[in-house]
Amino acid sequence: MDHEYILELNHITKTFSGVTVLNDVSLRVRRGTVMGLMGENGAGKSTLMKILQGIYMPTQGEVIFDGKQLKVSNINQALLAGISMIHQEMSPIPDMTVAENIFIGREPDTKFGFVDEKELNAKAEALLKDLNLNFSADTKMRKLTIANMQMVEIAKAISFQSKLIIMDEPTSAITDREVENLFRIIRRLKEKGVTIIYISHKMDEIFKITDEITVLRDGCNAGYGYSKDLTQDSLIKMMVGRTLNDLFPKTVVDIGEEVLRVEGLTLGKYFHDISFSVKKGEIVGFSGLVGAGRSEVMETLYGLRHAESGKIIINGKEVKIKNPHDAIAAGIGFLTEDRKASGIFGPLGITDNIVMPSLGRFQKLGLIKGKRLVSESARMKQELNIKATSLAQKIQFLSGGNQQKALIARWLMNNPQILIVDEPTRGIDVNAKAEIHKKLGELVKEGKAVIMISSEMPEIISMSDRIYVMHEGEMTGELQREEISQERIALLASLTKEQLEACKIKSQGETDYVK
Amino acid sequence: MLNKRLKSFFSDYSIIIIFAAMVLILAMIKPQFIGPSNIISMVRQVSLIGILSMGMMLVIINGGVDLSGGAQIALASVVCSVFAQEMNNNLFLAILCPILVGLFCGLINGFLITIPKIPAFIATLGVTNIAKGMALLFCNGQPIQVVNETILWLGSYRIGGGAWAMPVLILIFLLCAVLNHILLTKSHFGKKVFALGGNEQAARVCGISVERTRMIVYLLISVYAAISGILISGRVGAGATSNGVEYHLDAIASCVIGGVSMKGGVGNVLGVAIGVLIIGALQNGLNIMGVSPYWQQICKGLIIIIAVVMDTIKKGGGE
Repeated sequence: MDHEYILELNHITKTFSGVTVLNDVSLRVRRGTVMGLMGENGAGKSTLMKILQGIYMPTQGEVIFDGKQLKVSNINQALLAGISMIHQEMSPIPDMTVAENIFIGREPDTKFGFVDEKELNAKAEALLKDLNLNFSADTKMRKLTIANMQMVEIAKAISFQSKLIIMDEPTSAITDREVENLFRIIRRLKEKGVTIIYISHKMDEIFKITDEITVLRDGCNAGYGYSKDLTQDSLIKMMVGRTLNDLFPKTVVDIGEEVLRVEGLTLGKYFHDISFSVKKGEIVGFSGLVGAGRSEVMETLYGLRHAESGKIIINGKEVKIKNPHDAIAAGIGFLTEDRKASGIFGPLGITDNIVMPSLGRFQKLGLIKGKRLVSESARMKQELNIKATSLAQKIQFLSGGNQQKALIARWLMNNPQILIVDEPTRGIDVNAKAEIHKKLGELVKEGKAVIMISSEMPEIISMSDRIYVMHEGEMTGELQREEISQERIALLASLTKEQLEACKIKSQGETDYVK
Repeated sequence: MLNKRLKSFFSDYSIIIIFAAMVLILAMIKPQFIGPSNIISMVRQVSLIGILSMGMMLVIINGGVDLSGGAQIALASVVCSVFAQEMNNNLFLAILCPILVGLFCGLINGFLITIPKIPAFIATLGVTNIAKGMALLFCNGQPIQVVNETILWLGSYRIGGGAWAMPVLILIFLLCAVLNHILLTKSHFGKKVFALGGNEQAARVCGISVERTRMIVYLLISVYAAISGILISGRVGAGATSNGVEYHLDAIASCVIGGVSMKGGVGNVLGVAIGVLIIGALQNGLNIMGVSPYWQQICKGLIIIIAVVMDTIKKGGGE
């Protein structure tokens, strides 16, 4: 009784405490095919996949897997039911062998109840051989390349007799040759009747490997088609076809002289030959996919990483920035991407959190001028409308939005001439978001410059005066205010420089995506 | 409003209330417990631990731990007595050399923890043995009798008369506590120590030199250990390798009882000082009641565990 569709998701709706993340999403996947799943960050792809893995329960709708209603409530049950997922970020146990990683928790026993090493290795070896892999089952995971770790994950999925394997951005960290190998394995799996859901942002790959493509946008079905019938243009339109709302007001500001110029900044595997400039009164956006190297460029500019080559010029003078202390002295502030990991001091009060980079200003005879410190923090708290019981309240007990506002306050107090903000409004509520946007607008009005990294299209489009787009460590384009559109950004973000060149030659004059 | 205030008072100062309750109970069982001479002797008993605790709290707030504190006290005590003995009596060297030797130990700790980034637990464990070995070398394994008047005065004399005559030892402990309080709450350095323990990566982003700050923290605890070591020589009248060699355990316990978070970023001097007094009151009270030293150990262990469990519950689970 083989059903044509291995998986049918019918009218799935998922809400989290009142917020609808998936709205009436349907998806049908044919047995033994590769279904591409695309959509911007936050479109609902991962929520949908988590429902398949039993991590979330759908609020409404049904999941039919292999002809039966799917009833799983955790990853293990999903594995046993035949659904595996290969994550973008794998978490192998580095000091255990390949065989141990594959069969962890279900090692074959000897008759005395110990682990049967021989049997374990033999079973793993058979799996590896089946996939034509050239390393042995007793290799330590630590010694494998990322691509090979991925292969181990696939071997593990096969060992569970998975009928459906979900691959989330499987090529984000592997080389072109390794991609070819992965595709070879995928085709082989197809022959064996295994079905693949392939999540990716990369256009060329998705056309190469998938049979059908489904696009999600803002938690809804946004498009579907056979890969052979679709084009890059039509896919991009499906992904971004949304009207911009006016949540992000942009204040018009006179643009002044150049305050920062970066020339040919290069850092090994992260990015190379990055050049850009920022003027007073400008908000300069940096767009690109996750992993394009945007954050790494900013971390280098700020002295958290060290460039191999390139120049940083501030107000016409070349500066050497060895560490964040130098960066702050040169007039740069940096609101990092990960609030919890590198932003807040959880157990410290709001005042201490705000003042940390500006301590030097409150010094007298080696001691801190407490009164002025408190009055200035109080002013900041009011100005940014930070909701807290007192200035001494530990920041870890504030909401994400209020924590973020406190971190903005930190840099307003420090008063840098260039403020870098990395995903400034990720995961915070609408009101806090609007307030932060307003503050950034005021800042450039005062003649400061802001560099903004954001993966949220509406935010970066409405806030930026200019946008630089990066793809896999390369600068692929610069868009002036009047040239900015979601389609152009999406195209520049998803192709390499060479692919863009090819694109340009092919479509002479037809499209103006590439300048 | 009053209720809320009272509530926050109880949660902020729960440690004071526990201490007060403990004193009350001990006083009810044995009234001589709160007699002036007993109180003085009790505080004097823990002053040396208290001085080390001041350094220990800096280390723990910065996100580390220093197991070598006790061994450094022993080393400082021996080095001090080398220059305070019959044959070789020089006050200046008897104070300077222990501090220099202490700074040397602190430098090794700080270096290992900041440059090769060895975990503090391991680095200071190594230095513990080095310090113990150096102490044995300096005194050839034999206690050295201290004759220097000033060292003896510092360790065992009292100022003033009557029942409340104040031992110099307690005054030095108080002085250290006040300085430490100012350092932690009023100086840049103090803010940086808290920042480091609160979130090292964020501290770096805020332009704080993580390595330099951490290095100074380990140098400071070594200075506190050296002071404690000099005083213990004066207190017992001899420098010996067994002097204060386990004080770091009581110092860590005092910090934890006093509300310093082992995860870093949290703590205040008043809490730690009371933590020290709780350890003292426990030892002293049980002594007066004639409880065997064996049981005293068990009680101390229980108090430490109860203090931490209560603190964890107060903060709402394992957070």
